[in-house]
Amino acid sequence: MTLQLDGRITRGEFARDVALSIGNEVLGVTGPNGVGKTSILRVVAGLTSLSAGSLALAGTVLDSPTQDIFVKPEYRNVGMMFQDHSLLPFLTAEENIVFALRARGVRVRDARTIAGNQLEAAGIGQFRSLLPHQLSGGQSQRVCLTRALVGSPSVVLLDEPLSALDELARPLVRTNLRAALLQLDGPKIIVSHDSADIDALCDRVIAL
Amino acid sequence: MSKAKGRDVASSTPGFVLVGAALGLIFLLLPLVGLVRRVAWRGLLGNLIEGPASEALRLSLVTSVIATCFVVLLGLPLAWVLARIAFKGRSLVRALVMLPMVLPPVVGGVALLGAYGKSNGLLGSSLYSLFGLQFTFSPLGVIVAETFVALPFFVMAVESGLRSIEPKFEESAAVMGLSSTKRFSRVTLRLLAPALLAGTAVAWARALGEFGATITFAGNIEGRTQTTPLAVYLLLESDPEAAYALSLVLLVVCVGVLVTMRDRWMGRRS
Repeated sequence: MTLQLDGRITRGEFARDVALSIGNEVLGVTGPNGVGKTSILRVVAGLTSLSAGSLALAGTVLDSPTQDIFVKPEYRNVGMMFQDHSLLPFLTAEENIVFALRARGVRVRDARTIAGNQLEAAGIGQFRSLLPHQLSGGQSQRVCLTRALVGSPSVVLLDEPLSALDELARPLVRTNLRAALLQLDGPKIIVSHDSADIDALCDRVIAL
Repeated sequence: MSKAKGRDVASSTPGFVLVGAALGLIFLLLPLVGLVRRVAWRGLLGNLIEGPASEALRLSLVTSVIATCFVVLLGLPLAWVLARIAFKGRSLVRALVMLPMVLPPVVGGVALLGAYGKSNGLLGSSLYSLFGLQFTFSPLGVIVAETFVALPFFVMAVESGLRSIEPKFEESAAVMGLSSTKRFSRVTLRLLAPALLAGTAVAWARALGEFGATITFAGNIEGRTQTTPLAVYLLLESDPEAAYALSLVLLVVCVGVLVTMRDRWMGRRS
């Protein structure tokens, strides 16, 4: 499954041409702030539309202004982790994972089992019944990360996935994340400032 | 000075400000004390459950609850459009929506007559000839008047609530695969719940207290259009004890509404 992006991303004053082809691999995207790394993720997820060019996944066009095609985010089957943690504040850590699985059509009982298992596997099972505001930055980030990877998404997009973790926790989470990413088929994009994270997680890197 | 324990001297408050604040508070509290003092506690229940007072309370409760339902049904879409859709003339539309809040209620009543009046109303005359619907001198008119004055309060609370929801929650729900309808019901409404509650409470209180538009548009018929505020005004002459009893009920309800909204309007935020 290949993701082809060849187009222009416009956000306010900012415009940038991007050409990317990502296969069954983990692509790292680095570069200074404000260069449009997050915008690439938003375009792939369908939260921002291209102003020119096209985006296609496995030959299916998802976004093409000239052909007047735009597939809404809810039909793209993307697992995305936002940079500023976006756990729903009225649900516990576990319920947040269940919510994501339910949104992808998983039955309640299965969703609960999967959510519990995944949180255990990520080493944060003990925080499952805490609300987002009761979690530390690092804990909340790991829940977000878990949520982005559940439900077999076709594309995985991670925006600064380990930025809130302390140096002690990082190596283990990195190793676990790399293993989890290898289990998922399809294109995966990681935006990060941290070169050690990029080295450990990605197969290929581009600098914007 | 030993009094200013560890405080910044520059932020100390001049004495005249404290005196002014105290006078302001007394000015606001004195009428409330005056009202409570005049209540005849012994016959309170009797004053409320007998005669015109009980009729007025019943009518007020029914009409204000129905009006609040209309306020929510009309106000939520309005607030959504004002908060989420950028269109030309949005400020103008917002100003029009907010107008009943500053408009003298009597003028609101006159305007409602112009729109829904039986004989000359813009829409009212055809509604009457086609369906026999009459707003003037009917509880229906009371509901319309209450909805008219209460709607802006709800829209204001809910619009600001919608604006304060960060887009990331609905965006992440979209990426998870939720349709816009499901995002609305499972994410937006949940995040909006405090604003919805506050807006509903203040709109209901406003509907319950409506006087000017009601008496102008719907009239003052006991049992049909005489709501509690209208009854208070009339009973003050004939049966002051009942008037004070009804006023106390309205006061208690308003205090209750303030308690519901203390987190929003009284500075307590979680």
